[in-house]
Amino acid sequence: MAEVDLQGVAPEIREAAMRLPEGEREAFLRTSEIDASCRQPVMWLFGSSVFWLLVGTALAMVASLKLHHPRILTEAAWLNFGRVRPAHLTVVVYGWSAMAGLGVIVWLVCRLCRTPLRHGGMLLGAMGVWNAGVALGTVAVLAGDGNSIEWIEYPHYAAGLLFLAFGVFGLWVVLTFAQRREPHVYVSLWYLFGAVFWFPWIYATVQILMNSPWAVRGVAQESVHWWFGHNVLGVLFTPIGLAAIYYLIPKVIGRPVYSYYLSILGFWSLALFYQWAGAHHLIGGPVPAWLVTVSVVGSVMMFIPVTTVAINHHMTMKGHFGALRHSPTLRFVVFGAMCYTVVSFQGSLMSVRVFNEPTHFTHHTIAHAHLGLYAFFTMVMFGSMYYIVPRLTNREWASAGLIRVHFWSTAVGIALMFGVLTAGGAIQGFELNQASESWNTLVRAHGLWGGTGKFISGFSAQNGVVPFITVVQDMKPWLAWRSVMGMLIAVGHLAFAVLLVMNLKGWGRQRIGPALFGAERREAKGGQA
Amino acid sequence: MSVLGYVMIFGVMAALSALTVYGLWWGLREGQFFDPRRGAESIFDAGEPIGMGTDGFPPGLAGARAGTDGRGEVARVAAADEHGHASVAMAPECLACGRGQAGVAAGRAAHGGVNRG
Repeated sequence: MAEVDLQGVAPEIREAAMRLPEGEREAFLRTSEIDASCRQPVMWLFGSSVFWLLVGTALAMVASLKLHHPRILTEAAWLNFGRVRPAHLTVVVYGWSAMAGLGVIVWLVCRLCRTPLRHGGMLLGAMGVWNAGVALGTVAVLAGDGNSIEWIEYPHYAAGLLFLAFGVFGLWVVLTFAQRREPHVYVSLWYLFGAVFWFPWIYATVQILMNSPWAVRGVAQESVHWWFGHNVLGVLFTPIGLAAIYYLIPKVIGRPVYSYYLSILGFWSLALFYQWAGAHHLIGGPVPAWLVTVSVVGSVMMFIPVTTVAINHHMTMKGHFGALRHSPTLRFVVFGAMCYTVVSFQGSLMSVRVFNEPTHFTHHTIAHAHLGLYAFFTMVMFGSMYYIVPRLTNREWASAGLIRVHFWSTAVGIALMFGVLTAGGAIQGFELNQASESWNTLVRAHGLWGGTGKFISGFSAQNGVVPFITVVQDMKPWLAWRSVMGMLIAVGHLAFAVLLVMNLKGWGRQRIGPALFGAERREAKGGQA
Repeated sequence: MSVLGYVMIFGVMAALSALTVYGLWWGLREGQFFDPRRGAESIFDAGEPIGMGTDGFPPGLAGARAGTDGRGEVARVAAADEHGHASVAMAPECLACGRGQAGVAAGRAAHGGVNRG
């Protein structure tokens, strides 16, 4: 007990600890000490990430509206689709997702190493540099100084700042690991090590090979580009998301992970197979066939890690699904975990040539990307924040109702957006490739099912029968629905931002218990809050 | 591309690949992968033991503030199964059917809170 540093641990938590049985008190205070030590850097990271989430959402709305109403906001050059869309992508990737992920990394590493956070100044400095890099890069993209290469639009001066900041985070993880009190390395920590070591490598490589005086040219450039574009999901966001899931599901329901062997197998098979997958984006392109084939094989082999993760998460939750009715953390995290399985299996199938050829370069791919980065990763990050933030601010979430608004608007919004873009993208792909008549025309003439049947039965080997402008016009209703779903998601983001500000400021009702769904109902019935 | 560029890219690639192999070797040498039960249970401790849900913030405080003994509703709800059978010490009965499930040990046994390995 004497070793626990109570500095930073809130008085009410110390008081609560005194009511616990003696055997539990020290462990409880140690955990509280770790949480208190993480407060500054993690809350700054979370606060910054939510700010960038709102910026990215606004940019997404402008870009989405322009897809079906191209004449809006045309006066200002910086609001062109060609600038707003990459600005949206980079802000949500490097502003929101990466910073939320870094916050989760910092907290999880301290928890898993069972050591209070040290070198907090180093993390705050890195966080400032990362924010500066995102701000500088986004302004540069909007000002027309972007690279026009998807996922690496930031110019070299902004990219350098991001690399420097991430390097500092990596160094901090090594220093913390060296001081750990927990001898066992839990599976989440393996995943986090993967993220902090693999990402700087792929980021530095792509910057040198595509964004420097030594940049390669021609076909090699695209090979490097998609190696990075695919791996940024697989070696940065996937490990962070899975690390959070493997920690939070067992902790929330109080049950160890179903099979630890499977979890370790999942990590090492991800490490082995994911790096090969990027070149399936180049199917049909002027690249060596063996390169694409190796990539397709690597993508299909991803069935192994994904299946292990899916079995493990499901079996861990089995018998505890009832907790989804009450727990915000669990609801977001389990939703994200289920979407991880779906997006990964879909990704493996999309890498196969026969599936890839009609769907590539269509909205189908956009749907897949949103399923991965939003429905999986972002939802897991929301769930993680619902678990972590109250432990750092010593304040519960002010409103279970707002959390409910957040969950349903984002879950329904992303599910329908995925459905709309998947269906629209499939029609777009078939019209560009095999179709002999427009789907819209056939549906108007023969009804939904009859028209769709004739659309499919009319496929031919001849490409480009449907005029390109007809394909573009046929996509307008699907894109308009995408904007509607985007607005629904934006409502959820605003609800979450309001909740976070209320928590930080101490506004709203001060709860005496957790903001679980249905807590108000139980309270009204005279139960405990 | 210059020689320096090749050295940087392939040097870092080789170093990180070696680090990954070292990580695997270190894990095997330290026995990190040979005791799945210990591995799976390493995130639990006396403050947040197996069988106790931790969705409330923090698990002890939420109940203490509510005037209970430090567990109460928080853990009871979070650790309830699909029938609402609670699996923690302070939960006197199933939320739905009223069957008694008191005790962490009973919760573990009834709800499989044990790692399968």
